[in-house]
Amino acid sequence: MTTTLNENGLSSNDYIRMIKVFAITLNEHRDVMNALNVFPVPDADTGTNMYISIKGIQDNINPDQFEDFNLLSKHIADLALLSAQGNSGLLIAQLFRGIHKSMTKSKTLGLNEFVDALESSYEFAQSSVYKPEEGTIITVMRECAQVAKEYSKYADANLETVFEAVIERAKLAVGETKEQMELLKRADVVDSGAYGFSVMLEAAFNCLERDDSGNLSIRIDGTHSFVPDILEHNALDKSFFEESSHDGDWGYCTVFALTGDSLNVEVIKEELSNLGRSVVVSGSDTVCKIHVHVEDPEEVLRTASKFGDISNKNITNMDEQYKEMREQILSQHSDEISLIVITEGKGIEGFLKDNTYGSLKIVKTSDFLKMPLEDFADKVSDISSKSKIIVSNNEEDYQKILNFYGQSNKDVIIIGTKNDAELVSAILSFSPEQDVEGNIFGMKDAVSSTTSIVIHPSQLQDKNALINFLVEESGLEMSNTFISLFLSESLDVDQIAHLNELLLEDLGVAEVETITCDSKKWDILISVE
Amino acid sequence: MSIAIVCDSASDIPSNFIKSLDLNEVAININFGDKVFKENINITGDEFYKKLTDTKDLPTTSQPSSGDFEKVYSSLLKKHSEILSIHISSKVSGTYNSAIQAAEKIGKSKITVVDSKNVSMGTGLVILAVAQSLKSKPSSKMADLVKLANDLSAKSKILVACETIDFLKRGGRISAGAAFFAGLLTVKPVIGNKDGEVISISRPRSMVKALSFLRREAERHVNHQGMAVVQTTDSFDGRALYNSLAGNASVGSAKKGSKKKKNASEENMYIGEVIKAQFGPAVGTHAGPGAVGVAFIGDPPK
Repeated sequence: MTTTLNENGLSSNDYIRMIKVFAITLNEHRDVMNALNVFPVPDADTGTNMYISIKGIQDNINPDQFEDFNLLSKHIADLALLSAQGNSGLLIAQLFRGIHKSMTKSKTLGLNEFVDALESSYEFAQSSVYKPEEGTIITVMRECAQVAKEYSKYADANLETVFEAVIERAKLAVGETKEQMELLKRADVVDSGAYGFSVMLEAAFNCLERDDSGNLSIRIDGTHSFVPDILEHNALDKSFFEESSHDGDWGYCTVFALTGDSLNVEVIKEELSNLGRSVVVSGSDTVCKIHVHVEDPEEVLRTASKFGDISNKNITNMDEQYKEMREQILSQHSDEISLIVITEGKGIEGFLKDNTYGSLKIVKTSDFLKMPLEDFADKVSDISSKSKIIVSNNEEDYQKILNFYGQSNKDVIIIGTKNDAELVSAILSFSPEQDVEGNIFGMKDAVSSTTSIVIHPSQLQDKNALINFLVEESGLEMSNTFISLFLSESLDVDQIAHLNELLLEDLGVAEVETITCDSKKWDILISVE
Repeated sequence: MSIAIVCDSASDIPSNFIKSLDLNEVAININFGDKVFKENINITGDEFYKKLTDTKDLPTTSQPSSGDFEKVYSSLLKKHSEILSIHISSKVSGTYNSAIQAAEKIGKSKITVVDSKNVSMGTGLVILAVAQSLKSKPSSKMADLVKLANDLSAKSKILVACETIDFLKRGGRISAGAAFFAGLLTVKPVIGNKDGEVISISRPRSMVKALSFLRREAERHVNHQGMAVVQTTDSFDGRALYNSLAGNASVGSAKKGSKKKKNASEENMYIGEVIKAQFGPAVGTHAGPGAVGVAFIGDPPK
């Protein structure tokens, strides 16, 4: 059914430009995506695969051969399947199949087609994977399809508003992948393919324009960049590879096309899932594309040849890719010195993570107390840095560890702090760029020159007594000193304001900085520097 | 025939020493927008810091050209038989490379270029010590002076406490910058030299603490062969650090006869002259106004 809206939709030339936008964008974000690549295999090729998959479409499009959008979209969907590489490449190909499906009745790509295309893309993607997991590109496709459907119901909905809502949702959904999959959570990264899908869509949206007569187009005029900024996502880091025990058991990423007379996608998927992992099968009864991770690619090819003729074969050794990525990342962060801190408390752990420069491992005090020292020592020796500095925030633990390692151990150095104030000072004076001796000196110096005083909230009531107490305890003039206030969450705003006023106005300290940080040992800890 | 010593303005040697020790300084170029200044020739340190605070864009520095060095070298060779040219770290500036190029053109056999692997007075103290040695023994052999320069360079340290993190962030050229971006706390970054680069050393919370860290770092070293306090513009912090280090000299000698036992840091005390110097743009652009540093040549503690 042709409506006014459809007449204002995107033309087949716009579609071709959109594919160009996708390719440029994926190329720009390729390295970032490679660095995020952890699922299903950390082999640093998601970005490259997605780029090659789209580039393959772009390079092989022959627009002159096709009279209308529908025929062109079929051509592009076929190309997408054939050129698809890797898990994410094959999933992204589903977007083009979805667009083709939505174009069967229309001449231009407008709001209705956009909404339908997202829905079909998701369905294609979902059904092509054997046992899909949450937290991947498929999750983001689903979220996008859903939001498009919802927003298209509004009376004033048009392609721009719905597309914008889709982009916003996509970005959020990418961020959420980290929480949805255990592997991503452990690696502290978002899903690489999902990230790619989101930036592709965003770039296309950036090029979407409607002229004065209401005609929509995809414009690339070269005057400004449409490629979304690279977001500051964490890339995979050293600790992921240190804790990961995979060694030569990823096998081969095997991708090929299958052509035949009566291919049954479901049957092929089922059969291949007995041979390998990460099975993706997508296509029609005459041609389909297959992705599978296996130990023995020949076996898969033999099995597949029962169903049809094999072409566009591409096999990569993931063990080698994994090894390369692992080595690259481990050498990237070749910190000579690592910090191991034994402490506990919600606030202080987060604070240390945010404010430590260099490699840091936190061992909870409660875990430390439960584990034999030998186990703790194993954890320490698992860290690949040459030297390790252990900071113990408790006198007893400090003595235990010191006795275990001995005073003269050159590679494991133990520094004792008595409370969070001293701990923070020690951590801030650590720099992985400096040599070990310099760090030991700096950290011990910081600890010894930090004066910390614990006060009880009840002491806030008698101002003069508190002032005397503080001057006495600090043993120095408080004026012109720098104060860090460590406060438990139980204190109220008035108490904090009262204390600030007392320090700044009555005692004349130069600056006060407040750190909220729960501890069982105190409510207010004042650190004087 | 004699040996002449060439240095560059990024070693921040005070002008009175340049004169008294017959040093030949080649100026670093400072670019503010499209205007180019020659350090210590048509812009003074104080003028530079005034401009640095007043203008929005960060000035950039560029090394002297090899042509600049050729001119100085050829004119010196009219009166001297050999030239010793000592410069700031080749990892921080292209000055050393310009000097090498010029030396190759003018005559490698007559000119020796040394990479001090340091910056500011970390380099300056080395040059001063070599120049003093040459002055006290004008017949010194080039090979001995080069060995002295290299030995002292290995023992020369500079530590700089920055008043603010902003200039390290804005500059982005000193690798240490990256160290301090993590976290939202107020910190007074301390940067210093290591293997020819400028790295992050520590993040004290207050300038008072940063300065006392600088002082203790200087005092824990032994067998000092020179010390300098360097600041951007004259400041309370700079004077405080100077007084605490220079104060040692007088206190130290006054205590010589006293019965009080010397503690470790008093044993190591440096009793020579503490030189007051000013950071030029090479470090100043990155450390920012208000930065205070200490440079010293000394052995690490046992």
